[in-house]
Amino acid sequence: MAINTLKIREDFPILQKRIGGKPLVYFDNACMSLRPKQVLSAIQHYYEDLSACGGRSSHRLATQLTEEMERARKSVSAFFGAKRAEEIIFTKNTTEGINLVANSLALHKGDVVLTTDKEHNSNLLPWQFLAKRKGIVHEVVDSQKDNTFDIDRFERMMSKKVKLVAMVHTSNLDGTTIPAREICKIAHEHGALVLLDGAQSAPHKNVDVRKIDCDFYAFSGHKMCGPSGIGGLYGKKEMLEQLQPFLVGGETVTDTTYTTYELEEIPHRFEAGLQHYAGILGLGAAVEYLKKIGMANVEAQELLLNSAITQGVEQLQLIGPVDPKLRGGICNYLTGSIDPHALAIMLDQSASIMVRSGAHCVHSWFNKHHLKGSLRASVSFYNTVDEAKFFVEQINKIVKNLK
Amino acid sequence: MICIIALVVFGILGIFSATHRKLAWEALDCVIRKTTFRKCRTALDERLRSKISGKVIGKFPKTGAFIYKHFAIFSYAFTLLFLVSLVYSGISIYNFAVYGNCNGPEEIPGFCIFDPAGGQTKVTSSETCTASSEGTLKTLDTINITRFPRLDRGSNHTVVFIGCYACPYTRQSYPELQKLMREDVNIVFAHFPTKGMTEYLSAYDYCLYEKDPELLWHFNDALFQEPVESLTNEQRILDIISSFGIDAHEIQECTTMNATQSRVQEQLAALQTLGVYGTPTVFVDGQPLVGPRPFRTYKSLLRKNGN
Repeated sequence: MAINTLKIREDFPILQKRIGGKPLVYFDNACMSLRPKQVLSAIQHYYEDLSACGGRSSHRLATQLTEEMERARKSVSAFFGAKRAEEIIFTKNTTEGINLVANSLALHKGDVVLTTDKEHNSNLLPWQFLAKRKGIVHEVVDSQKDNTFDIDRFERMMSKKVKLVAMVHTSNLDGTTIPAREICKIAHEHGALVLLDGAQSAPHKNVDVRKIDCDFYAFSGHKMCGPSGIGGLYGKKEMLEQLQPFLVGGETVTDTTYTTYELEEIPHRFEAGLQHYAGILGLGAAVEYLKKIGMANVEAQELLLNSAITQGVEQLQLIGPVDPKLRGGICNYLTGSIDPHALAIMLDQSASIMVRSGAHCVHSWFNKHHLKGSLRASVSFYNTVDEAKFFVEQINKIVKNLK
Repeated sequence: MICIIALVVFGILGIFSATHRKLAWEALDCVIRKTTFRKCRTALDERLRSKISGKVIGKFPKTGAFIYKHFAIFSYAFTLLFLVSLVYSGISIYNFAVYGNCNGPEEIPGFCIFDPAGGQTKVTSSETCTASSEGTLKTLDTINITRFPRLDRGSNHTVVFIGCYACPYTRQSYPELQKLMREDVNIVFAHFPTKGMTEYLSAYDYCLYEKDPELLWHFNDALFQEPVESLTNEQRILDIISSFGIDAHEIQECTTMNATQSRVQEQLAALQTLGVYGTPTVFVDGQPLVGPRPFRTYKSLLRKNGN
């Protein structure tokens, strides 16, 4: 079923605005999504109607907030196909979710953590730090020539020493998605756990954590139409129970003496301090909104846009496989002799097209390939084919004249 | 190179805006690094290049691309122009402080052209008149300056004020002369009638000065305050003289005497020999200034000469 993009766009106040006298063409969705008014209303609802502490006080505002927070948790949990609502821990973002696992999981000297060669710094630095601090071994599974995941190489690298496979589910570099289900199967056969960085997969495709069978899945609200500063970590209940919280304080315990403490139930033991309540309600509204749109529709619309861009853009080298089906909503280009930052600024200044340039926090991949950066257009379901064509026309015009 | 311009522009804007202050720091960093042959760390130059080219490329792709590709040349050219204009601005500010105008001592603001017949334009403006088109002044030692009314204070400095009672520029300048008269300088006054209609007043100047030198300065004060239209009314002139408590008719009689007429003609001839072509013309210790100038200009010249 095709979605009515024009109708959907009415939900996004920012898309009604003009930037520098021109309509906004927002193609930086992999960095930050736009927010529909339903999410904005949920945020405003907290500040205007609730504005209290959740999970603590007993007055009506607090209890209503607690109920709405737990409702949001259920929505998020259902969105990802989790078995139980308590398997969702609210975090600041994906980065915090990954750091939570890295610092809470019992990893010891010599234990191996496997990642891909296209990890965002958020799923690279925690392991580099652990390697220095605890002596774990961080190993990288190189991609195939077309930048897709090399399952054979991965299988060869698996051993009993591998305790955790921490991988980006959908790459923010080229939009490719790893075969997560297969990876989980192989990892589990070797006794390893799997943590998926879902920052880019959660907003763009149906993710069912039980079908995938991953042990942990981290995601960000700001990339899935939710507010900034809120995200989450899914963890299988039995896995979460094995974790030792690394952020502790208010809400994480039921009782303390001067020398002892009693940890709260899951997920609260991992949610230290007062939470980003407005963000949680906003995230709940965001997943409800995405459910209403339908993730299959989101994926289909993004494929349509990706195809239009892939077919239209000339003279620039695409990163990753050519087939748009394999790249979700991401079209990332190497710009040759043209500085990608300059190209991005020109698209903004001349046509109000917002794209991302640089290393996209995947510096390690660019350094490996001796590249300085790229220009990335990332689409979302609220973008139109006309916008994609306009982008193609503008970038081709600029590149043709600059080369 | 564009960072130099950015530093100055953002530096000034940064006084008022925090956003521009940050950019000014970036520009400073850029300038320091560029002058030490290193790459600009903040990439401000690249951003400016892209933004400027980007603004153009949307409408004029080829021009935008040309600017982008040759931005370094444009940068150098604009920086050079900027530096040159900066130097000229500095000179202009100095001139303004010292001479009261941005062009220095050679600039001629408005002045009255010598036109006794009254057939030409009576006054000029700075836009239409220059010294070269009007003539060249000679030095004061070409004439006998002692033949003119003089307020002698035994000073080392002498200001020669050549003006016309009917000239609006002389009238504009006269208050400055009054200020000068309060300084330790000798003052010489010469009436140079740029219009025939006020020529007869030169004789009154002479006669009043001869009667009592102080009277001339009172007479000047009165005439420069009088409406220009009254200056052709001799009866009004006589009334003014009477107000000094002296016999106006005696002075009037003096103006008709041969000796008076002879001195007036001698003075006019001397001014023409000097090359005076308009009023006001002021010599400060021999240095001529044509057109009205502020007091500070005269004062500055006196200071230069050791006042």
